[in-house]
Amino acid sequence: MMGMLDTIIIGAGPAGMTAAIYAKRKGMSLALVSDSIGGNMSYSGNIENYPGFEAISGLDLTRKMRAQMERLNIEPAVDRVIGVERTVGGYRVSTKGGRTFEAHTVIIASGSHWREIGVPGEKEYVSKGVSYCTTCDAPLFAGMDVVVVGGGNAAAEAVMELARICPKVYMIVRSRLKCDQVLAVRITGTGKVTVLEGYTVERISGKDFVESITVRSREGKVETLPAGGVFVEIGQEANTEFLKGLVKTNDRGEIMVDDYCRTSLDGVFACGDVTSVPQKQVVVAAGEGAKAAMSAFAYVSDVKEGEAPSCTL
Amino acid sequence: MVIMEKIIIYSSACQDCDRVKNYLRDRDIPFEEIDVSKDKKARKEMEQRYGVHVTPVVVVGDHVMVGFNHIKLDKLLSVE
Repeated sequence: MMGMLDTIIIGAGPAGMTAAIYAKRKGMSLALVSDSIGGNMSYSGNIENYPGFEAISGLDLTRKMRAQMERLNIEPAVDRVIGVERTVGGYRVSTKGGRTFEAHTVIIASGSHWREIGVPGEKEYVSKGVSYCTTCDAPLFAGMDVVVVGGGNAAAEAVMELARICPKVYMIVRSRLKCDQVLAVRITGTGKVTVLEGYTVERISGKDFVESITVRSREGKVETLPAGGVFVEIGQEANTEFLKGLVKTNDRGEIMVDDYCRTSLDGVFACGDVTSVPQKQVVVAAGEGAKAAMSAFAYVSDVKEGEAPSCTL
Repeated sequence: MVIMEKIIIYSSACQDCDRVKNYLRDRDIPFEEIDVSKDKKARKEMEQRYGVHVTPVVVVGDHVMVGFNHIKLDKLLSVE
């Protein structure tokens, strides 16, 4: 185990990497612990709203952030965090790989994962026709009829991507389409998409691979649609299971933070998609990462000067 | 790192496929790539042999990894 650090950053997406860069430049001692580098950003096909880059793939932006960290001698500890506990004077973070880190502060930037529908057949057919990442898996479904579950912008973009290579795309929407109007118009314009509003998924079926999806309308009408692929695009869930209730979360399970990225617990900060900040964007996550690092720096400075920092949440 | 086994990657235009290939290229490890988004016969072969409809599938001798996890890949490559 390393000695007492100033901060432990959990997660290495845009929020965590930015926090690490800011913390290091402030002269803080730190550990950056994450089981992957880039987070959900690395799965973005094309990012066109990150200032300084007209268009850049998520993977390339990840590489650039990582290179910037390397220039500052920040080497991520590649491991999965399984626990955070309070100690005298700080926090202890333990990992699946058996490592422990101790620090005055913790910055949680653990991001989010794709939400599941929770129907029979879904788990059984992951990697066998059920996908949570259209950008990753769409090319394998060329020539097949497919289903997209969801009615927001992510679902609409998935539909557009699939309509280019698939003969028929069903879009299953629980209530009504919520995507931007420009996307709704584009979907209609493909002539390949059937939007089923007011439908829920009952089950996903097949033999070795997905062969169909059964849906139910608000009025109770049940239909089975033949499809080789089911793309689930119904939002994200915060990665907080390792915290075991250590900090306050909202009704969506996101960590509640104030304007300084402070959580309900002294010395624990949070940033990025794992928090209650509603805008789940790369540029927002990066900005929140910077804020969290600056707040942690101020907290550690107070601790070292013998002052007792307080929390407002 | 000396890899004795042949490495085959069943790939498509996916992010994790890029990750696997970059990982191997960075370490000068040779591999054979089969793009299953363009080769239907190879896709069927991948599905039948490994039971998945997803890429990448990385085959190192008798060992198989689905997706990209560099810790698992490190282990796979150190089997030799």
